[in-house]
Amino acid sequence: MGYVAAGYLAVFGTLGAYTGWAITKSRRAAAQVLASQPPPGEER
Amino acid sequence: MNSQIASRVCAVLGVVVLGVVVVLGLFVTGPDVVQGEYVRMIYLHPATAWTAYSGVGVAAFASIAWLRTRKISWDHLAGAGIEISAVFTFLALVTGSIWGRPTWNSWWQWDPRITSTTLLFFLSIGALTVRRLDGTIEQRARRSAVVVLLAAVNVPIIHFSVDWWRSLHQGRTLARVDRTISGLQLSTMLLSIVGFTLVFSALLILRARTNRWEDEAAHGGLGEAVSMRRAEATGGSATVAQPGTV
Repeated sequence: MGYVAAGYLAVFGTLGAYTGWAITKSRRAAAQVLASQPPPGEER
Repeated sequence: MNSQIASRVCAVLGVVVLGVVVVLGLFVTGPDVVQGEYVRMIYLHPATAWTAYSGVGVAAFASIAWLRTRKISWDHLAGAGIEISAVFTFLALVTGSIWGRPTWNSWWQWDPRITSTTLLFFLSIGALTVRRLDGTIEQRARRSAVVVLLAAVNVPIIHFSVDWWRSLHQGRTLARVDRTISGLQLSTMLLSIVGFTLVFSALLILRARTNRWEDEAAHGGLGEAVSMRRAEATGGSATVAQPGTV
C-alpha cells in the first residue's frame, strides 16, 4: 500500500498546493486592480 | 450565474466528489485479481491524464478563437488551460511512474505513451515560458497560441500511441468492446473523472480571471481596450467587468 499512498499524497498534495497558490495570486491581482482604480467621483 | 459563483460551485462539488473517490478507492473497492492493491491507482491516473487533455483542448480552442477574433479574453483562457494542463500532465506522469515501479519493476520506460506524454509536459511548460517573454500582449498571445497548437497536435498521438506502436503501457480500458473493468471499479474510475473535471473547471475560471486582472493591473486596461477596438472593428463584442463580478 506504500506506493498507493504515495500516489494519492502526490496527487492531492500537488493539487492542494497549486490551488492555494492560484487563490493567493488571484487575491493579489484583484487587490492590484482595485488599487489602480480612481476613487469614486474622480477621473482616472 | 457569474464566474466567481460558478468557480466556487465547481470547486465544492469537485472536492465532495473526490472525497467520495478517495473513500471508495482506498477503503470500499477491493484489490484486483491481476493488479492487486495497485489497481487503486487507476482511480487517479486516467483521470489526471483526461484532465491534462482537457486543459490542452480548452487552450487550443481558445488559441484558435484568439487568432480569429483577437479578443484578449481568449488568450487569458488559453493561458489558464495550458497551465492547468501542465500540472495534470505532471501528475499523470508521477502517478504512472509510482504505479510502474511495483508492476513493471521500473520507475520509467521510454514507452511511446510515456514519451509522448513527457513531450506534452515540456510543450506545456514551453507555452508558459513564451507567455513570460518580453513583448506586447498581442505578441504573447500569438507566441503562446503557436506552442499550444503544437501541444494539441500531440494529444491524439498520445491517445492512439498504444494502438500505433508496440507499447509496454496497457491499452485502452474504457473505449473497447471487451471492457476489462466493471462494477464498483468502473463507477469509481468514472466518478474520479467527474471529480477532476469539476476541479479543473473551477481552476480554469479562477486562473483565466487572474490572468485578466494581472493584465489590467500591468497595462491599465490597455489590453482590454485594444481587444474591444478590434472586436468593434470585426463586428464582435467585448465587455469589461470589475473584480468580484466576473
